[in-house]
Amino acid sequence: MGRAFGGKSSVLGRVWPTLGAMGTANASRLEQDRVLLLARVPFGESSLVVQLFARDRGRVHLIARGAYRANSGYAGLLDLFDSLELSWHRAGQAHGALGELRAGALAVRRKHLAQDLASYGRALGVLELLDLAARVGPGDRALFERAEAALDELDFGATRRLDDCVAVDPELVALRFDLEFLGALGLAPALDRCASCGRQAPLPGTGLARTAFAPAAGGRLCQRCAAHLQSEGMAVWDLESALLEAAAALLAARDREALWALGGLPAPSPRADSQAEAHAGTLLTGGPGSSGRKAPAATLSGPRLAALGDWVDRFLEHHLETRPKSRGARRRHAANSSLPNAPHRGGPPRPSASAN
Amino acid sequence: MAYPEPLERLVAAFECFPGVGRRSAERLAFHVLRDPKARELARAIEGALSNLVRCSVCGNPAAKDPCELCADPERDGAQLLVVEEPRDVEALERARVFRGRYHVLLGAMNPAQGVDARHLALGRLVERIRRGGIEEVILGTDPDQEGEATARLVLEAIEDARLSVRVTRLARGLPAGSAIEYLHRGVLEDALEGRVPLRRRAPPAGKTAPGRDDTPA
Ligand SMILES: [Zn+2]
Ligand SMILES: [Zn+2]
Repeated sequence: MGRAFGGKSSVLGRVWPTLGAMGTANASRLEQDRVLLLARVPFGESSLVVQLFARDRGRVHLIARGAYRANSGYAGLLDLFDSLELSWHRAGQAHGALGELRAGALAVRRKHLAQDLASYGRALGVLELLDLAARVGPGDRALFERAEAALDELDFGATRRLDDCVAVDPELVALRFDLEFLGALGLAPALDRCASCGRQAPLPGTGLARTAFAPAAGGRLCQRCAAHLQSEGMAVWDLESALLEAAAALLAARDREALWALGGLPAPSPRADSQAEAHAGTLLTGGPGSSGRKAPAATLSGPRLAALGDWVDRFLEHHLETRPKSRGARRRHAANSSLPNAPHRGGPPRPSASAN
Repeated sequence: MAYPEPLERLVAAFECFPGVGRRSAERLAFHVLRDPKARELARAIEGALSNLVRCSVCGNPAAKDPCELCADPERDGAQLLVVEEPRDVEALERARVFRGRYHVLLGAMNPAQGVDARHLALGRLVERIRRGGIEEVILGTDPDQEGEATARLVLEAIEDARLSVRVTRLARGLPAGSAIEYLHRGVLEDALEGRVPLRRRAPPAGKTAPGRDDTPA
C-alpha cells in the first residue's frame, strides 16, 4: 500500500540503509552494535539525541532524525531498558559530534518493567550506573551482559507480579548488579580476605560475628590491619561478618535458580503454570514468616537485605563520589534500612589516604 | 577551579535543569555573560514566574486561576485526561479530539532524573477525583517506559484512595497512515495485544451465537 508515495522510499532508505550505503564512502563509516539506551533528549521538531551504552563500543552519542515521526523506521524504538541492535554512521572528529542513526531493530523487549514501580526504579538504577561507567572507546562486554541479565530478571519479576505470582525481590537483583558493576570497574570489595595484607579472613560460621571494613582500603580488614589503618586516620566500618558472606553468596548466584534460592523462593520452571502458582507465597518477598514456605537458612530478605543494600550504597558512594539519584529515591521507601554502627550518611569521616 | 561566587551560583542554577551537566551549565553561564540578550531572558523568566500561576484545578500553567479550559462550562466534566506536560494539552486541543477536562502532572516519573512521585502532585489529582463528578480517568501519559511508569503510579494512587472511577489507558499500536511491513517488533506486539473487536454491538443477552442479529444486510 502506498508504495507510490515518495515518503515510502525514504522510509525504505532508513530501514535498509546498508543497501544504500554499500559501495559508497559511507560504508566505511557504518558501525553497528548491540546497545542499551542511557538517556534521550528530544531535538528539533521530531528528532532525538540518544546516549547509548554499546556492548563493544562503549558510550555512543547519536542523533535519530525523525524518530518521533510515525512513519520513521525507528518510531517508538528508542526506549529505555530494551536491548537494541543499531547501526549508525560514525561521528566526525569534531568535539561533541554526533553519530547518525541509520537503522535499528529490537533485540530484547522488556516492556513489563514499568508496570512494576519497584522493578522500574531498580532498572533505572542499572542504567544510571552504566552511565557513570560508560566511556567513549572500547565497550565492556561483560558489564553489558550483566546489565542485560539484571534487566531481564527485573522484567521477569515484574511480569510475574503482574500475574499475581511470587517473584524475587527486585532489590536483590539490583544489589547483585551493583556488586558486579563494582567488579567490572576493578573495585570489587575484598570479602573473604584482608584487603590490606591479603590474609584469609575467618571462615563463615567459625569466625568473629563482626569484622572491620574500609572502603578506602578496598574491603575487609584483619584486626591488625584495621587497628593500624584506623590509627592513620582511615575510616574503618564495623560490619557483621554475615553481611560480607551474604554479598559473596549474592555474587555467586549468577543464574535465576541460584538468585531465587537466595531470595528464599524456588525458581519457576520454564513450563510452570503461573495460575497454579498464584498466591502460593508472598507477592513480594515480604521476609521470613510471611510465606508458608520454609525459607533456607541463608535467605537474603527483610532486614538482612536492607542492611546489605545500605552497605553496598555506602561502598558505591565512596567510590563514585556521588550518589546516583534513583538510589536516593529507593532508599526513601526503605526507611527501615539501617546498619548498626553505621557512620551517619551525611558525614562519615573522610578517609585520609587511599591504600590501593 | 573556583569561580567568583555570583558566577558559581549561575552555573549551579543552570545545572539544576534536566539534561544539563556541569560542563553545559558552565557554557550557558559564560554565554549569559557575553550576550546582552541575557537581560531580556532574565526579565522573561521573572515575568513568567510572577505572572503565570499553576491552575489550582488542573495544574496547567495559566494566566489566571482557574485556567480557561477549567473555566469553560461547555467541557465534559465526566472525563478526565491525565497528561505529562502542558504541550500534551496543546497538541490534544489543536487536534480537537477531546472535549473532556485535563490534569497536567508536569513531568513523568523518573527518579534518575530527579522526578519522584512527590513531584507529580498526585494528592491534588486524588482530591480532584474525590470531589466527584468524574466518571472516567484516561491515562494519557507518553507511550514510553517513563510514561507507563507514570500511568502505573497514577493508577496505584487512585486504587490506594479507593476511588470508584473507571481508569483507562490510551491505546498503543499501529500508527495511522503507516504500513505494517515497516513497523518494528514492539509496535506490532502492542498492536496485537491491544486489538479490539471490530463489531461494536454486543450480541443480545441470552444469545451465544455471535453475529445472529447484527449481521449487516
Ligand atoms: Zn591484614
Ligand atoms: Zn485548569
